[in-house]
Formats: sequence, structure tokens, C-alpha cells
Amino acid sequence: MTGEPPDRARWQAIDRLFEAALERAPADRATFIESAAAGDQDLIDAVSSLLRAEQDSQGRFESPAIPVSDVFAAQAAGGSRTIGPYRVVRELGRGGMGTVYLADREGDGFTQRVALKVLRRGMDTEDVLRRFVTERRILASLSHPNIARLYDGGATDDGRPYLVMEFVEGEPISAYCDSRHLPVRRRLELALEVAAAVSAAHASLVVHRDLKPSNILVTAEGHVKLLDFGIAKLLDPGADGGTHTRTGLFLLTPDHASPEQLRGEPVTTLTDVYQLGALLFELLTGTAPYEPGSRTAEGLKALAGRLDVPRPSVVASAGPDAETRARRRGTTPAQLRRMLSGDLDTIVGKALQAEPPRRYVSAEALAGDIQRFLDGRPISAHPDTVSYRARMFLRRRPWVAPAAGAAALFAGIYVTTLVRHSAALEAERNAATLQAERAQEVQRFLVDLFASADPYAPADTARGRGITVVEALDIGTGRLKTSLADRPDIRASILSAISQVYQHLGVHDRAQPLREEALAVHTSLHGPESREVRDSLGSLATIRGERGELVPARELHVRRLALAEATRPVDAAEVADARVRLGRHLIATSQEQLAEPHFRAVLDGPDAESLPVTTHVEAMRALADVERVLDRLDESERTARRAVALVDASIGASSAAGAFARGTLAQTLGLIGRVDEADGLFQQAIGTLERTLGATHGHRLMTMNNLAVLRLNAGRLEGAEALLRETAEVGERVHGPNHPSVAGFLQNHATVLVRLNRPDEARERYERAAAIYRETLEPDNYTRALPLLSLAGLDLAAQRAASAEAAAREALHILRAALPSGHAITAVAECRIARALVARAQGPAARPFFERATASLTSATSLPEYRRECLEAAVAFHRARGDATTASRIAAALGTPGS
Amino acid sequence: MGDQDTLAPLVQRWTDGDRGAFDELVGVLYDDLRAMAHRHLLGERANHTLTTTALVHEAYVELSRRTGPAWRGRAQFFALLSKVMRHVLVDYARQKKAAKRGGGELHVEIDEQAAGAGNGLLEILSVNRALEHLEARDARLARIVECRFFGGLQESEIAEALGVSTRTVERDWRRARAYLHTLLATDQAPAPDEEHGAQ
Repeated sequence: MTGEPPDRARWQAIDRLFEAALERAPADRATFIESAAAGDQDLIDAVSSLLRAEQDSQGRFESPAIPVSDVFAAQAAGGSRTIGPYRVVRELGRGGMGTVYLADREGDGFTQRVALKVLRRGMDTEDVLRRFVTERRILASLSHPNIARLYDGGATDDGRPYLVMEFVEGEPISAYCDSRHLPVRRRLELALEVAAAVSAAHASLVVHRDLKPSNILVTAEGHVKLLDFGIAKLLDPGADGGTHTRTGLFLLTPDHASPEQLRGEPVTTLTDVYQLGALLFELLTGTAPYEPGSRTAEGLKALAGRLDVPRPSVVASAGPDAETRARRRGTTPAQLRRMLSGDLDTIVGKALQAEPPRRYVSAEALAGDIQRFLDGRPISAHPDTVSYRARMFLRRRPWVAPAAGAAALFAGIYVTTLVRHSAALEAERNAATLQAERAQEVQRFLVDLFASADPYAPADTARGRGITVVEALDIGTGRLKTSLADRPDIRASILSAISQVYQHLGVHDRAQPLREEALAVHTSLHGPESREVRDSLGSLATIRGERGELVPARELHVRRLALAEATRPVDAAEVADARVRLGRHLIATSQEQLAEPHFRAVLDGPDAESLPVTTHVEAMRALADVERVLDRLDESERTARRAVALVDASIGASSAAGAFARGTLAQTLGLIGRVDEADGLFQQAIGTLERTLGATHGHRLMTMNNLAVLRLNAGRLEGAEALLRETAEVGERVHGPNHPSVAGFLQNHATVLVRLNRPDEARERYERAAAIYRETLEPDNYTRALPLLSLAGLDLAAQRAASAEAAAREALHILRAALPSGHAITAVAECRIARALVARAQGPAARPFFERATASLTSATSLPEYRRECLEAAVAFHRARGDATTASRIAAALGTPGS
Repeated sequence: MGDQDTLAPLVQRWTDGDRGAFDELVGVLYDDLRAMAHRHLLGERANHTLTTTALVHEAYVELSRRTGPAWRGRAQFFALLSKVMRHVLVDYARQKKAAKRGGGELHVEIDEQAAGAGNGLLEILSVNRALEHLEARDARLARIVECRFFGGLQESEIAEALGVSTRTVERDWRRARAYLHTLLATDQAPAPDEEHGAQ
């Protein structure tokens, strides 16, 4: 084992011969290896050296030269400890994650008292801290009176991660309720507080994943505080996404884990809904919904696949200690049973459904039903068995459906009849009906006027041109300011219609205020849960999402879906539309796994066949996107082809929808490697979009960009160059010179130009991209560093070392603030600085940069080209300095990426 | 504390072949071993030196009582505890080294090498590093070193734990020793002097 570390096959040859030689008597070994190695002198040297090492090491490595009692004595003696800037006061407890301490931090004239959680050995510190850095901003923004704050995180001296949290004095919620003999009503109020806090966290895109009584404390003031929000994700090695997500089971106690966690499936907000249901169950009955007894693998599997949901009313009043449990609720078993049966059984049962799509759609929806129950109003959930049976009945006997529909109609008339109990009221209502009819007429007029210019309309009527339509809308909006003040309903309809067309034209900043005004009018006219309000919420959510306001957008989507689900009778098309839009939003925020169940619920639901074709197609396309991102390419191709076929058969192949479906399919085919087919589909889509949406529409530009990336990756540089030149030019004309998407096009264009060996043109574009990012992006957005890194690369190639160093240092500065340490992109920056320093004859200064970069890149699998470039430079560097050992260690890593 | 609630399902999942459960078990047992050793040191038997072998055997008795018959067997459990001991010892050595550095002492390395205990610390760290290299090449050799050096196991116990013959363990040990010796020799080779100038 001298000189370069041999590769695997070589090492095995050495090892085999070494092993065989050891079997011989020491005196015979030299001759044996001479003959076995057949003149391979290196092999002979390596094995001889190992044989010497074997002789020299006899009696070595038997045990460590320090007594183990010293090891533990040292840790026992460590009296007053400090962890980071915190002084440990005392231990608060130990749990599955590690040990929690009460700790102080001295500030300017005050002492901050915190709970400090030191995680167990065995959790990968770097992973945890990396996730902490990514999640920090989200978790820090979680400011809610019922949620304990996460302040800080770091690593102890011995390298264990720790988290610093608000210190909460309180009692676990179940113990609190029991020791005070709280009645069912008071328990429900506390559960409501918990659900509201969970719902607020969901709006900030944080899922708890481990809600259980010991994580929910009640303070002396009688308010709940939720601990450890978002912590489970930090500790979950599968939480970074990817195909092999193993979420859930990590450190969770099985009696609180949801079925999808037990099955190792993705965790979503609906997991929290399930755990809220389990909490409610326990608060009401005094036992967990499922026996924690069977912890064997089979038991857990059975638990994961269970379909029955136990009824709280039955569980509460059964068992030998039923008397005690009832007394703790200030009642008797019989009374408790009566209290729980009916609505509470239904609410808990809906939250505890094994299949996430069958649960309440959100924590908010669950809270809504608890509140309704407390107010004595009808709840939204229905006993599951009844609706399920009814659905099955209708599915099996389709000819019965119209009759059932008629029954619903009769019910509607019956209600109306009851309301019209006085002549005066009836007169009023007639007037209202008249008004509505008039409004409808106005609306129809307006919608017809604009529909011909609405690019999303079916292909044969779509010939609008963006600019003129926008002008027309602007005029219409101006007129509305002064007219129709006395007809709020008509105004709201027109506002909605204009907003919708703006929205479809991509002019979201003008669409939003109109839609908000319409929403306010609808709320006061029709009530906060009306169809008009629900529709406005959906549109507003999409608009704000398009404008990049992701948190409020998600909140609006969830609210709309909850309202749609709670409406009776349920409008399947509305629910499906709400799901598709929420799912799309989740994709846009890289939460594909949360999105997938929504699309599946739409496509596999009992009403799938009767849905509007646009909703159906959109769900398919979105599902294909999810499958592609999750690397299930075959499924993605199948789904995308289904979408194309459905569009072609219904809306038409040359509609915008047809183009979108083809774009989706082409993306997947490109990844599979069917470049020609993908290229053709993209071209077809771009042509269609030009005819339907116009040459300058953002969707068309993005499709062109996608085609260019496909060509770039396939080495078709000329074709990619032409496309990107056009997207950058058109993008600049449409969005103005200072728009981040223009910078993206420029960056891509420049990359192609570098590959085409046109460095001067590339430089000019990189510089413009860097300038746009500097103007438009937050200082710690890592995208800002990308053109700078490229510029450094160009400078290095052109032997302009000083300028390369400056650009790479600026990039490193940004990346250090934006990404966790050791990230592959950061390493690329370090490497380029090192190379610049070497070129400037500053070898010693380059060494630490090379060392940091190689340390991060040796095991990296991402960015293979950059990794190679960097490691090769490092090898050359160490070789030139006579450090053959280091050089060959890095060279070995180069041969085996990611090993 | 790895109470029954945490430990039993983890052991079950480990027995079922869940790789993640194994890592978690190491984490849980780490704290358990520490607690056990503390009790030992504070208790009546504080006068005799606690060896790794004694601690590992004692831990087996206590933990198997708490978890019931879930363990795959004594030997596998020993192998697991050896891994935990490796964590414990490496942490300790790192902490010691860091504490000395932090104390502002100069020439820490030389001081450590002069003192016997310091030598032990350095050896733990360099064996651990060498073992990481060896793991990448031959996992079984690395397991044997882990069981013997860190876990204090006898050859017969190692053989049982790894499901091989004692003879194999003997043979493998000689190879493992030679590789460690070689790796340590390269590891401690003086670094070439920094030179100035361009490539």
C-alpha cells in the first residue's frame, strides 16, 4: 500500500495474494508471492509491505489504551456545563430525540431562560444542521401565541446537534384535563385551541408530524402551547424529498403515528389532522384510539392497513376503568356515551380515516366542526358509512342517479318554502331574483365580449391579441370606478369577469385588486361561505401564487377547499377544481409529495367521469409533473399521454390546453432520453401557443426555454442558441430589462454560448444577468451567485486571475449566507478562488480553499462536471507541491463519484 | 433514557432488517451506556476499574431484561454495543483534544504524545479514521476491528456475532491489523513542506 491507493480490482488482487501468503510459513512467503505475482513488481511490493505490517503489528489494536471508566468519569464530573452560549441549569427530561435541559443565556441586563434539546448520538449532525439552516427562516416565522418558538440551533463541542426553544412551564394536556376533572366541553375548547395553532402553522407551510399529549402543554393560565413544531422534519433523514423518502417512523411512538407514517409514505398536513383526531379521541375517552400493544412488525403493518375506526362513545364507556375515566370528565359512563355518540363520533371518525383524502381537508376544517358542535350547529362531516354506501349504490346503479338528484331538488324547494313565510318577505325575494337576473345579463354581456379574447377558450374561437384586450380591460376598469355604485352585485360580477381575463393574460397585479374588491362585495351580499365567495377565494389564491406570495396563496387555497368540502350538497367539480389548484400550488413550492394525494383524489374519485374536462386534464398533467419530479418517469409518461389523448378528443389538439399537455409529455420524454420525440412535441406546443396566447406570452417563452434546455443537454447547441436568443429578447421586451426571468433566460443563453466557444457574447450576458439579480433578488438568494461563478470560470479560462478571484469571492459571500456549509455549489466557488490564487502565484493561500472544496466534493454526487473540474485542479495542485498522498487520495475519489 | 417504549420497537425493527432502526438504536444505547457507567462509578463497585468488556456484558444483561426476547441473540447485541462504544470513545477522545486546544495550550500534539493517556486518545482517533477507510474496502474486516478494539469482545464472541468460524476471525484479524498498521503509518507521515510559487 505505497504510492497511489489502488482501485478496487487492484486492491482485491493484493488482498487475495496477501491472504494466501499469510497461510504459508513465514520462510516460504517471499518465494510464494514471487511466483504467484508473475513478474508484477508493484504487486510483490504491496504484498511484501503488508506482510511486514502484519509482523510489526502483532499485539497491537487489542484495546484502547485508556480505561473506559475514565471516559465516563470525565463526563460525570462535568458539573456546570455550557452548551454554546447557554449555561445548563438542570435536566428537564429525556425522550426519543435526546435530552432536554433548562438553560440560561445572559444578555444585556437580562437572562433568557430556554429549553435546550441536545439530540441523541446517531443523528447525523451535519444533516440535521443543514436542514435546520434551510428550515430556519420558516420556523422562525412561526410566531403564534400557542406555539413554542424555536430560537436557535448549533452543535455541541462533541458534535451533537442541539436546538434552543422557548421554555414552557405547563402540564401535558391529557394530565391537565384529568387532574382537574375537566368536562367534555372544556376539553373540546382546548382541542380547538390546539387545532387553531396547528392550522396557523400549516399556513406557514410547517407540519408538526408528532402531535401527542406530551408535546402539548397547558400553562398555568389555562392556554395550550405546542412544543417541537417542525422539529420532527429536522430530524428526519428522509425529509429532504427525493424518491426514497422514508418519513414518519423516525423516532415516533407508534400509537401516535398515522397510517401513512407507519407505511413509510410522505407526511402531509393531513398527517397532523390524523394526529389531532387521535388527540381528540384520547381527551374524550381516556385511551388512545388504537391499542399500543402490538409493536411487532406484523402488528404495525396491521395497524397501518386498518380500515375500521373505533367509536369514542363505545370506547369511553367500556372497559374495567370506564367508571374512573368518566369521573375524570365529571360524569358517568352512560352519560359520557350519550354525549359522544353522534356528532363527536363522526368528527373523530372523519379525522382518523386511514386514507388521507378521506379525512378533514385541513386542521381548520376539523376545528370548524368542533366549533359548530360547541355552538349547537350542524356539523359538516357525515357518518362515513352512510355516504359511502350511498355512493356505492349510485355507482352500481347509474340509472338511479337522476331520481336521487330530483330528491335533492325537492329538498331544496322544501327549504325555500319554509323561508317564504310572509308575503312581505316574498316580495323582497322577488325583487332580489329580478336583480340577479339583470346582473346575470350584464355579466353574460361582458363575459361574451371578452371571451373571444380569452386565450383559454377552446381553440376555434381563440384569436385574441393580448395588448388590445388589456387596453379594453383598462378602460372597463376605469369606467367601473364611477358607475354601478348602487348595484354592488352587478359590479362584483363585472369585477370578477375583468379580473379573470387579466389573470389569464398574465397581468396579475391588475387582476388582484379587482378580485379582492369582488370578494368583499360577495362576502357582504351572500355570506362568507357562499359559492361566490368560494370562487373568488380560488381565483385570488391563484393570482397571489402567481405573484410569488406563497404563504397567503396557500392559505386561500386551503380555505377554499375546506369551504367547498363543507358545502351540502357537495359539488364534485368545485371540490376537484379546488384540489387541483391547491395541488398546483404545492408543486410550485416543491411539495410534490403533499400535492400527489390531491390529484389522485380527483382522478380516482367516484365523480371523476363527470368532472369538467379541463379539470380532469389539469389533474392529469399535474400528476405527470409530480411523477416526473419524483423520478417515476414511466408513470409520468403514461399519465401525460392520457392527458394529451383526453385534450385532443375533447378540447382539440391545437388549443392552449393541447400545447400544455404536449409540453408536459415532452419534459418527461426528454428525461427518458427520447430527445427527437420531445423536441417535436415542444415545437408543436410553441407553435400552438403563439397562435392562441400570442408570441410574447410567458407560457410560450417558458416552453421555448424548456426546449432549449432539452437541446443543450442533448448537445444540440445551435438549436438551443437560437431559441434562447429569442426568449431573452422577447422576455426583455415584455417584462422590461429588470425581471428575474429575463436574467434566467440570459444565464441559459450565456451557458450555451460558452459551450459554442463564444466567450465574449457569453460574458456580456452573464454580466447582465448578475446585474438584474443584484437589483431584483434578496441578498441571500443563492441564484445571485450563479452568473458570478460562470464569470469567474470565463475569467480563469481567459487567464484573468484577479478578476476571476473577485467574482468568485463575491459568489462565495452570497453562497455562505444562503446555503448550509459544505454545499456543492459553495465548493465550486471555493475551488474557483483557489484556482485564481494558484494562477496568481499564491499557492499557500489556495490550499485552505482547495481543502474545504475537496472535503465537500469528495462525497458529492451532484454537479458532476464541476466536481470533476474542481477535483482535477486540486490533484494538480497537490502534485505540483509534492504531496502525492493527498493528490492520489483525491484522484481516487475522482474515479468513484459519490463513494 | 432508552426506556422500554423506545427500545423494544427499535429492536424489533432492527431484527426485521430496518437499516434506519439500527442507526437509531446506536443513538439510544449511547445514552443508556453512559447512564449505566455513571451508576457504576457512583455505586458500590467504584473501586474496581471498569473495562469495556465488563460494561458491554453488563449492558447486555440489563437491556435484555428490559426488552424481553426481542434481541436476535447475545452475539449480535454485542456487535451493536461495540459500535456504540466506538461512538463513545471517539467522542471522548475528540472532546479531550478539543478541550486542550481550547485551553490555549501550545504544542498540544507533542504533550499528548508524551503522556501515555494522550497517546491512547490519539490512537482512538487514528484507528477510527483508518477504520473508515477499511470499511469502504472490506466491511467484515472493519466489523472485526470494531468488535475487538472498541467492544472488547473475544474471538469466539466475534465469530458468533458475525456468523463465521473462529478460525476466520483469527485470519481476518491478522489482515485487518496489517491494514490498520499501514493506514496509520501513512496517516501520521509528516506533511510535505508548504512551497511557494505558481504551479
